[in-house]
Amino acid sequence: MDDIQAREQIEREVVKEDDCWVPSSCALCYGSCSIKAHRVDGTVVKIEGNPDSVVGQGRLCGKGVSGLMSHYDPNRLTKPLRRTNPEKGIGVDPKWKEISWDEALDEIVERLKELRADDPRKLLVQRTTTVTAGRIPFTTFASGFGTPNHSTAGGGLHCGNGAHLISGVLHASWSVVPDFHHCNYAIYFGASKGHAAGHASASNMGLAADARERGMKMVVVDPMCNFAAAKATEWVPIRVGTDGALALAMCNVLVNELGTIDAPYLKAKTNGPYLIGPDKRYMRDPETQKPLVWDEEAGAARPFNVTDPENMALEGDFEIDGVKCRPSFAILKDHLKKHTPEWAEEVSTVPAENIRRISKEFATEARIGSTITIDGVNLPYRPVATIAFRGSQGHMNSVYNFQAIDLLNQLVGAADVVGSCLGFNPTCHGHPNTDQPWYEPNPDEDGIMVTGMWMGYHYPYPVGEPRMPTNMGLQDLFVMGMTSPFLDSTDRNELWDNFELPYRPEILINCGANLLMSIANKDVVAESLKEYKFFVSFDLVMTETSEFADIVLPDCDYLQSYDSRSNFPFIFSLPGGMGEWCWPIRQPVVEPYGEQRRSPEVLLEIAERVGFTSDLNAAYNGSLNLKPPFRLEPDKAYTYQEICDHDLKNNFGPDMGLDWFMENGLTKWDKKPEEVYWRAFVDVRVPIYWEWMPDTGEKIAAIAEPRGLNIPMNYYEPLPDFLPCKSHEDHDEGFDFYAFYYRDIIHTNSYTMENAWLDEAAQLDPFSYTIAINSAMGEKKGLKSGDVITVETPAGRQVEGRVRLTEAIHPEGLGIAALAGHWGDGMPVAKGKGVFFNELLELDYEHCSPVNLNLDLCVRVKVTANG
Amino acid sequence: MTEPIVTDESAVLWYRPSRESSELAQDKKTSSDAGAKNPENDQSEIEIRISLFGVLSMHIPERPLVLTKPRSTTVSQIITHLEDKYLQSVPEMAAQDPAGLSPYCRVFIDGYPLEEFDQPLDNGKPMIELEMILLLAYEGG
Repeated sequence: MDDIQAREQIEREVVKEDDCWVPSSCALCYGSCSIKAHRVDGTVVKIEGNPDSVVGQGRLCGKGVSGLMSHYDPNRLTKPLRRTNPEKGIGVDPKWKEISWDEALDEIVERLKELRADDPRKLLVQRTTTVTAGRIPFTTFASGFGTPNHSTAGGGLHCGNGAHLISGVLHASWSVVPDFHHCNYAIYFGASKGHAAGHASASNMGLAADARERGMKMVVVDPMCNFAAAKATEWVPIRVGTDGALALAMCNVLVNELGTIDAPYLKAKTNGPYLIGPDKRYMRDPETQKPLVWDEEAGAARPFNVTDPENMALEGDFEIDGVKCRPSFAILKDHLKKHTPEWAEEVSTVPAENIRRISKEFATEARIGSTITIDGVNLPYRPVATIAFRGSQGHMNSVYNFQAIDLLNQLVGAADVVGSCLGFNPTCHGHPNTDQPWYEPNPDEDGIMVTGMWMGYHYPYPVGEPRMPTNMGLQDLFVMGMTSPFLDSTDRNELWDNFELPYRPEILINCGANLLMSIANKDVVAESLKEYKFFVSFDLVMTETSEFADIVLPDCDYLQSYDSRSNFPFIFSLPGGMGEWCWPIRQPVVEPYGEQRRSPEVLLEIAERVGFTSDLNAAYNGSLNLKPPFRLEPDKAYTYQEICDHDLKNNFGPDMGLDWFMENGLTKWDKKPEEVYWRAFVDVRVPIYWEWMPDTGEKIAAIAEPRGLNIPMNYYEPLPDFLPCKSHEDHDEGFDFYAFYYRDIIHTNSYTMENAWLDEAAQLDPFSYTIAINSAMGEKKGLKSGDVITVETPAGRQVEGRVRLTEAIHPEGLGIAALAGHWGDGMPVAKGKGVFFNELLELDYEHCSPVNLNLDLCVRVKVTANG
Repeated sequence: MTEPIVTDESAVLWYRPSRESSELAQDKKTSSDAGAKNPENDQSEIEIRISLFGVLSMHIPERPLVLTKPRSTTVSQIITHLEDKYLQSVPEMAAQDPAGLSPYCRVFIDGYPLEEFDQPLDNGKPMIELEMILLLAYEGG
């Protein structure tokens, strides 16, 4: 009996008259929208959005609806597999042999025992941002085992290092959105939030549509007019990777041409009044070491924390004990002067007159000085927002680009107040039953904001002390980096040698990531994968990456899994703005089939057999903030369901455990204005002047440069600037396009390419599987839609595909959708479809931000017609 | 130039938290000056039973490690003691000040998570349980 027959038999045996809707959470993208899955006689027949939930609000995108096609994919793995061919490589047959779970786990446990006794840091835990409920189980497994080496492949490296770092520093949040309920003018820079992709995907779709209907103007800055721009009031075509230049020119217009700033906000809520000395550092009070401001009433410098903000000077030249100094805002104001609209037009191709017009519209709509009453609470009202995401921050200039874009919000006080740019949900005063979870931003010793809650364990601010790296990604040297390219980069061994990394990675445990495709060109990642002595992969189907594994374990998908926090930590996909808090769970709609097992349970068993259950339990206590009586006891073995039960009771009380949530699906309660619009209530300041940057850069350089790594200090200035990408400096003849990729709303990463319904939709879509080029440029080259072309980089990397000519792309742009171009036999629906953009990307230090390590995702290319 | 803002109704809302914080700081100082018991003056001792997990347990496998310290001892001081004596090769411990360390160095006192490392450990009992683990994994996406 084959696996499909076995599954069908199990389903026939299910008690008849099984007809129910099970509340759970989607996992077709990281949006994790709340769903209801219709099960009839043991088979999932339909998936819809859950109207009871705030997360999606009953809406579900095409990906979510299609989830049952991924679940019932006949190519799902059902048995553990052991490689018998020791040779590894792209196209090399692993010669799989089916083995039992006992055989698989015996080998894994033996390897991990040896490794942990030797040096636990030799383990890398690799996870994806989609597919399964793998976040908490895998990060806690890594911490309990004792390794700092954990990664989220391309999903992390491409999109997150700039957006999340800077949203954390400036909004105490993982990311930012317009306050859709009240915003009147939103500018998107390389972002598509509210248009079927990204955080709070389905929730924001509804909110954005309602906002547009209400009259919210939306200006979308993007090389391509697609999902967000097509629905916008105005599309601003821009040269790839130059968003920072445009934003800086807009800041200049606000400050130096229009003179439109929210001075009280800058005085009370930023470090704009802090006095800066000639060394670029804060002037400090000798006694308290607090940063000094100039008190205009007293006519003297005083520590910021004892000075009424109203009296703080934002401009002027001062002298303290013979040292000349100025408020940081005054320095910023001068710094912006060189970024004229005319200069920005040269860099970005956006006409100077448009830059001035959009800046003026933004300034006018900001309504500086106004207030509004929400639920009886008087609040600042700034109905404008600039937001950014992957497109604008996925470059060498990642940090400055995002910093400059958000500076527009800071200058007019449009930060976390009504109508403005919102960090989503950084303040929560807890469920009425328990006051849990409770968190809000708080100030450090300098008064600068520290986020109260964060997705990971390393907060974006204050940044750590750079030191000789002891983790594979070198993030302990590059202290503003998150996901690192150096786990797989061309120069990884050279870097590890030069920085005397005291070990080399030996074992890789992967959960669902197809890193061979998701990071950069496949050859460099393949070389990295081949170096592991032992590679275990939990997967749903045989991906190109799992073909490099020694053991492949058949995992359960989201319709078969538990997760007490499907929106990790619980706000990841909760929409911003007023409304309700909502905590949904994920629960099995159907049971595993074949020999599939839930990866969290397998990890618990591995930990017990390796002998670190007490460490893993401590990691769960730390990760989930479990308190007595719901904390895990050190030496007790728990099931993952029990851990979920502890997590839920810890937050909502003993009557609301896993059973309650499986019945009800979620709990929700009202948000308060003091939570959503926290900025006016919490005494924290955000940095418009990043004083720590020169110090951080110098310390990194002191370690790196003697070891042969150049640290360009112009990336470590306190104020943002425009620094070009590599692609801007490639001027070889014929290389006249900037290639970039964009999130196709039909697909998520590389995973959904195997979904038959989504594949069908993508084949009908004119862009999903083609290469978009501006019509005039294409015609000039003699191309017509449908022609097969080769796209080639200066380094000689090539991809091939059919061209689609369109007016909806910048003349210099070349756009490729999603993460397509699979070649493995394990995903036959996906195989051979679309174009593999990442093949064009180099992966090394020279092609990533020297600050946050984000990979530069644009590349100069030339196009030739085939045949 | 755009139209000047004639009335700025939001300014007072921006200034309010700073002003309240300054007043609060003053209140706290007054209260402290009133002569509450200062734990730094308490010279009696407490037994601290320390359990370390994850990578830390590789360096101090003894679980629990028992120390006897003055009741005024803080978690920061315990961390410094452990660093000096056992954990010099754990860079995640040494490179950060406690403010930077606390997000990923999770400390539990008698089972309860501790956020502020500079408070005296004293729980009013003869013995206190301290658990510590480093949550090291970086996150993205």
